[in-house]
Amino acid sequence: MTLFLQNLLNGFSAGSLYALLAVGIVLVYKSSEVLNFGHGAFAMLSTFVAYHAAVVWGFGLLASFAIALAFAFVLGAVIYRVLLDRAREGGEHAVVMVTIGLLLVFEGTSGAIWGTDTKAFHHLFDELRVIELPGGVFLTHHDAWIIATALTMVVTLALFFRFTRVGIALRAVSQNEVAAQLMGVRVARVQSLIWGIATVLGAIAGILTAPKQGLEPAMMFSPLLKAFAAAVLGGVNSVAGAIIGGWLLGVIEVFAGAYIDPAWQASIAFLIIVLVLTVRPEGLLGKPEVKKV
Amino acid sequence: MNNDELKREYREDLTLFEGPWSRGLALFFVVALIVYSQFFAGNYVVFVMISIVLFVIAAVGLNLLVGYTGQISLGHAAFMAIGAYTHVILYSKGAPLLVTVPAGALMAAILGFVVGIPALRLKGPYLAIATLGFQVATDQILGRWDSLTGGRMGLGVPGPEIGSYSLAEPRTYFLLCFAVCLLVLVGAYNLTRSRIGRAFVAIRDNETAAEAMGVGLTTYKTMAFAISAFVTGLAGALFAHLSDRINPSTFNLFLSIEMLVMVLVGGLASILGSVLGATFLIMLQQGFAGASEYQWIIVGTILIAVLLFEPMGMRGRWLRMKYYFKAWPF
Repeated sequence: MTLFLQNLLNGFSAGSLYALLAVGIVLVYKSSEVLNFGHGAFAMLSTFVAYHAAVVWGFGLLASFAIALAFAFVLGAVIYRVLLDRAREGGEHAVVMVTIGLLLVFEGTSGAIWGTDTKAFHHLFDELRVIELPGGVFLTHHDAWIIATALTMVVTLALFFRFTRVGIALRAVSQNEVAAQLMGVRVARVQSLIWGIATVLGAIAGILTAPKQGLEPAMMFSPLLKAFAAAVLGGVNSVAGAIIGGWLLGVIEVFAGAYIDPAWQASIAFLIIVLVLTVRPEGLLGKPEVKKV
Repeated sequence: MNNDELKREYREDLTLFEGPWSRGLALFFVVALIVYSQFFAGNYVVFVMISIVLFVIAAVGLNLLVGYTGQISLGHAAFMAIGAYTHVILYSKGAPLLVTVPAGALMAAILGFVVGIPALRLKGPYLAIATLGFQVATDQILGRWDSLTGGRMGLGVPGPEIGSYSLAEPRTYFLLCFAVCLLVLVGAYNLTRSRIGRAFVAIRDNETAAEAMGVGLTTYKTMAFAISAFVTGLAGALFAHLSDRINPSTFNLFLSIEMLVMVLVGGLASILGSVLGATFLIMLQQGFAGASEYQWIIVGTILIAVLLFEPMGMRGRWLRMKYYFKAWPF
């Protein structure tokens, strides 16, 4: 029983990271119908900015994080406004390929600036310190931070979308661009705002990943693939689905590793992608897209 | 309007080459490449030429799917891997090369057909994720199935031989690859002008309308995946002999992306475009062999620039130049 709870908690912690990334992917997809393969690279670049600010420029950790998140916001918003908004005219393939092009450019850039070796970036929390919870379950300080951050972001986002004027505009755009525009919403501006928010979420996930995995240009690639699986599992057009999908994927992964075979833990995500897309392409909570002739 | 733009006979519509010049030009290129590779080029240059020829084949295969049928695939390196592994496993067991290379391609085609089935329900970004999943899954399976594939260590590749005639010399191996490449080019070009090719294009332009006109989506979409995988698997099987060992990491996601870049930069739905795109990208990689970070920056930038400013790719440029000079004084 203790082992079960421990696995559940570990899965929940891994899943929180996937959920943070997946929410970014889903927000972007809902608002502008772009599946952003560069999402992980955006996050990686922002994490490198935090590293640069803290280690090279010598800012305090919190100030470095603030700089990185501001950078992430501007990066996301500007990239959408300058590149993706134009690319959308070229159709679905063009959009996917532009985001892949961004992935290549960003990974190359960070490799050229900071080198391709893995750098340690330990910050706010002590990875080795362990908290004992009732029931004999252990939680590392790091995992506690991840879970707490993810929960905070989820609640904040939910409130933001529910109650603020901008949040309502965002939902309007994701439902129907033309109608939103007719109601006086500046669609392009709202979309770049969403891109900014999504990139900030990615940057947070990146900063949380860094202490465990270290910094290198491809650091966010595998988490991004997992986040895609999470988004597909929950439904690519459902924010709640992405969060639940992330947690579910994390738990399934850890359980598969613990009870079936650790070697296959990494492959579970892709099995899930294939299964979900074959059986229920719209995901657990997504709405099926209806094609009109 | 120029008289020779008007086709008067059915035979003119069937011909491979339009106008008196293109036939001569094509013949000149074929002869020049063979002569150059046999008598003038050093081993390294021949090696690069083989890579170009093989990636032309792979890019043509991918273009049949992406450019003509309008289905995206991030998993084509996996088809290359399947072609290569099938070929090497059978060939190591002593089957003749002329059987195992097509067998590799056939195996890739079968898996292409299987991947094509879920693709019937998926569009655009979903298909991209599904094929990405296929790519990663193939990598994992090849890396884990130690008894058959040698796991992460990979398999040793025996030197190519047809009968007792060795092709281990790059010069002679180039001839084989080049011959296959020409076959694929002619075959693909003819395919795109056939009933099947027109069905592909119809699906790309409007699925619903195509279905209403009697194009069976199930048949033609899975067929597109199978044919595309067959051609790419063929390139993969021949590609195996470029190094002493094959292992799963050779055929990673970035290879898939590179092939897509070849197709897009060369020009969608164009055989000539794939030739240009593959040649361009391989040359670029050889130029930046030591500095892979800069290579990625340049490839990514070119990809984005082409998508935003010249969606027809290099072929579009070429056509525009051609028409400019055709109508020159005006």
